Amino acid sequence: MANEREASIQKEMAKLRNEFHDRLIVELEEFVAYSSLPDQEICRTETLQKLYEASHRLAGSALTFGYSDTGNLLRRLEGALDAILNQGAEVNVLSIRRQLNVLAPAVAIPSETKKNLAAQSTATESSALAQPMSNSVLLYVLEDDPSTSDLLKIGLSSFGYNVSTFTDIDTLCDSAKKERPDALIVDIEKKNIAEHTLANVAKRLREDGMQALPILVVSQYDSFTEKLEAARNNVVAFLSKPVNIPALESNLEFVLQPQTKSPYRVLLVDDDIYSMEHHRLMLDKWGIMAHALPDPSKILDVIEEFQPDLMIFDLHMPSCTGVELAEVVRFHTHWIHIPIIFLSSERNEGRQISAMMTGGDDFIVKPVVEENFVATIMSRAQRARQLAELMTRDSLTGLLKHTEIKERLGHEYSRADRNKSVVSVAMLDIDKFKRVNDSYGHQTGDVVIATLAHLLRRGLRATDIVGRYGGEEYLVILPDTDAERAAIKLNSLRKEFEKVKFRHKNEVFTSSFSGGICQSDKVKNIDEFLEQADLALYRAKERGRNQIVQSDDTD
Amino acid sequence: MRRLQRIVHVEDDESIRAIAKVALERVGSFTLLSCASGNEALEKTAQFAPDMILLDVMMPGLDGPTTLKKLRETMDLTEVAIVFMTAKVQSSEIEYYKSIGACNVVLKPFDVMTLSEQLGKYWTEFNGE
Repeated sequence: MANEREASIQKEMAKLRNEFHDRLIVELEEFVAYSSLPDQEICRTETLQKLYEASHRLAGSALTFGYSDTGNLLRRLEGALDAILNQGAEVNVLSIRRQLNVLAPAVAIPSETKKNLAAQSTATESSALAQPMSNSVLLYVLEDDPSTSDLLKIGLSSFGYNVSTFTDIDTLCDSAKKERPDALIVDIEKKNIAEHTLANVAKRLREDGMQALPILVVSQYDSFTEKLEAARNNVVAFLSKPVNIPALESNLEFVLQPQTKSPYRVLLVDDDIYSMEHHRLMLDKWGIMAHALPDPSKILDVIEEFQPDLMIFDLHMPSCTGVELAEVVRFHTHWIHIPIIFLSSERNEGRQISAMMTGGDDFIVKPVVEENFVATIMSRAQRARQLAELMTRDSLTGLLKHTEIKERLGHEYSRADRNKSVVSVAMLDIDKFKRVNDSYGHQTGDVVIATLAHLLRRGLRATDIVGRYGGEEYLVILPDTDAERAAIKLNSLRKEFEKVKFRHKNEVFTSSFSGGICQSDKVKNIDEFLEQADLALYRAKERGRNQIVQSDDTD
Repeated sequence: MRRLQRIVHVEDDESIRAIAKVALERVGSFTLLSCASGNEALEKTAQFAPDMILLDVMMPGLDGPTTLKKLRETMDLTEVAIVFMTAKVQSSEIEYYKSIGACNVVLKPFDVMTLSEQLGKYWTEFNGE
């Protein structure tokens, strides 16, 4: 009976979610349409007021239905308009336009939020449809040497980017105003044209209202002076020549990812449930996924399960102090990179310093000021995540390293076992890879490896886990997915990959991969799980390569 | 203590009204009157005789606090628990709502499965535990 009621509630929720999804797409299109109005139309108080009310309304419901990325973008727009309408800030038309443009319906993807039931099933459903390999990312290259320019264009196109090259800044700016590129790559080689210094480029962008455009620099000079100049001009990445395309690509990925990145995960430990909930909601509002833990003694299991990017401990708890708790956590060296921040009403300096000395990284005094609190948490979490990624990710592909992916497979396998769900694992291998290396060289081989990595990451769901298992071998974990669905997904990626054209000098070639899939409930333990996927891969190779085989498909 | 049964929800966004309806009627088994604006609430609330009024703070036209003020001019609210819904979590903000007669605040986005429970707690507090 109770179950029946629950099921009917779930059904109603699903219906509401679908309705909301449709509404969201329509309304976001309306926002984007505003961006094409002439400046004086946008600047009118009535227009701004209308946008302000509309963004407030839609932000509230988007967040309620679990669309936290979209909701936060709308909140940001609401905040900017509030500043203009109610606090006398100046109108920056370009910034408003940009904020309207990013609301393109593509952002209507619900984020995963454990807590918010409204989000749950849509999150898996719609992302299972897969974000296609993003060829909508537009890159501008400012380069006066044609051979480097070609290299960048061809190399980055093979990763699915749209690339336009320019030789002078005026044409670039004119075109950028219309096309709104996502990033700019500038070569600061000794210039044939004097005004192409970095400072000048940055100045031109500012004058045209494009100061937000991320700039990546490639340079023959690797000195401190060059880098300092870059830092002063808001450059987001600095790469030395000769340009390593996969490295440039992973920098781009990093620069462009804020919209696609999964939310930061913060673990809050506080015995005062009211204060904890207060902080949790603050973080939640800004799209940070916070897990609240009132009982410190459970912390080790919770870290293991929740995998936080950062932890916040209240300093004064009855069963143990925050400092003691930090020491306990620090016994576990594989969590050493997770920052610990203490929260307390204690203002005494000495206490603050001693808190930092023992396992903690920072100290925040209660009551917290929301903006400062969230900003501190965000920047710390971001840095920690960068460090963790360097520790666990393969430098060529940005995928998880061998040991890490195996560990994750262990987690997912036991999680599926506990939850009575299934997880599928796929072992992939690039066909006849040795021949690529032998005929075109290792550098070209690396491009093939990185391209498949990129395709897997973009084509799979955020919840899927991809690792580089060996040289040209990949392991993909697909939670809550049976082998059948995993095969459909991987087959579509396989077809996409065989179409990618690689170039070496004047030769164009293609590549392919084979894969073996196993579903967790068909095996008894993790070793057998991997073994079966590997056997299926072997069969795929035997049957002529460029195909996906499931473990129970034994002819 | 009276049981919490009748709730008025004032919210301009239709999707949030719909989801609150599930949260309060289906999960919580309350009797709900949904109003799309402060004005609609002024027309219908007195007749509905609610135990609790759940008010969105920021609405076009009459906002939450103004709606409350106007309601108070038309009916006796001493026995009615007033709860605001807002996305702002500054504690000064919460204090302000309490100072104008709210017994508590629900933060947006709310959780569909626990909203009723939360309101139940506020109801107990409102009635002096």
